[in-house]
Amino acid sequence: MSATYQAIGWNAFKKRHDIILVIAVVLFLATFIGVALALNPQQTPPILIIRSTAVAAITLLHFILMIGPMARLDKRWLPLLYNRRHLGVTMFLLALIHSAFATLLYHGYSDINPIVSIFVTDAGTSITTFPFQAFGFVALLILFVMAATSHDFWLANLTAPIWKVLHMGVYIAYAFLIIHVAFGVLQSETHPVFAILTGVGVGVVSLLHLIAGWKEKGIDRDPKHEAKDDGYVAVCSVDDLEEDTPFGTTVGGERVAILRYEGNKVSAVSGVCQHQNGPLTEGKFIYGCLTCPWHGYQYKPEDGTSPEPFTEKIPTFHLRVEGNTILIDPDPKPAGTLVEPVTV
Amino acid sequence: MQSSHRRFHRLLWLIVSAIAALALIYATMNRPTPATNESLPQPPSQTNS
Repeated sequence: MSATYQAIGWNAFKKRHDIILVIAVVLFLATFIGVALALNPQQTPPILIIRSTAVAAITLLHFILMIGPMARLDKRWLPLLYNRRHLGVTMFLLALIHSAFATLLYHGYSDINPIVSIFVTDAGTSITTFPFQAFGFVALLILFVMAATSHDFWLANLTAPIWKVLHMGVYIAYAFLIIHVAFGVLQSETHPVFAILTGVGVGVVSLLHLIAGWKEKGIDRDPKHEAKDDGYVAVCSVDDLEEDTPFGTTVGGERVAILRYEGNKVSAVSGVCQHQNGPLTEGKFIYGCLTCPWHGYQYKPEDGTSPEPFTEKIPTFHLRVEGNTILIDPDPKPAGTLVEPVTV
Repeated sequence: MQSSHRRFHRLLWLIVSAIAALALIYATMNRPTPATNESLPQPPSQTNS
């Protein structure tokens, strides 16, 4: 979490993560080139670079797309989610090398502009003239925009809603890349193993998203809360509240984090982080703030605002205590509204 | 607001994965068959005239 521009806020974990990433990419490329040369020694260096970087990039993209749903299913994946953007930028750089070499090799000697050539070379409707290169080019553009705006600096400047929509572009890019692979290399590399591996990749990534989505849908379903005449609903008992650890529930379709802190204070805020919709209901009360488990974004429980100099804020809710029962007004107050905590 | 965003997210992914899977199946199943010797045009046979 940074409010001003700083290239990367390095810490020991990020350094270790990136060293492992670089070693893994180098090993992958070396192994791919070694095996490819062993199988066919006639392959030229440009072809080897084009193919090795392409396979590394698409493999890394599948891994990146698995991190989100896996983190929802198993908390041990959270550290990878924390640093996912570094994986994304690395994947973009591999895709850029692939496309630069492919454009120079296949379009560099053309009489027309190489970029124009990408779009006019294959522009038919039959399977052999399908414009798979154009799909790859558009996917690369989407990945470029995402890599260029991946820093928190852009998140702060574009605002969270716009940034989130922009970064959902990865799904469009993924579909375009599978089309690029299916109508491109899989038309010439006809050994079943290549199509099967691509199919397994699409299947695993899709299945993980479906399972995680199904689990999330279950969380979104409102438990049967008993409503009072004034609209307040009973959500839990005081005994359910563990100090400094939020109690998560869903009221009127909104996820809510109810937090007991500083001994006997209880406040309720939105259960969804403004940064990347992380689960604040699974966060912790640290240094006076409810802290998101995904990227460490923090919010004060009484008004839902981030501590200075940060500007993020989330909706708050009114609470009431009746005996041993905590009741909540299901109508969320605008993000950043001060609501005095109740005492228990 | 929150739940509609999540619904949109789920729907988008469902559409994207369906397109990717269908494209992969279609492109793989309709690959042009490699030309065989039998299907290639044969050179005219030389005959003694």
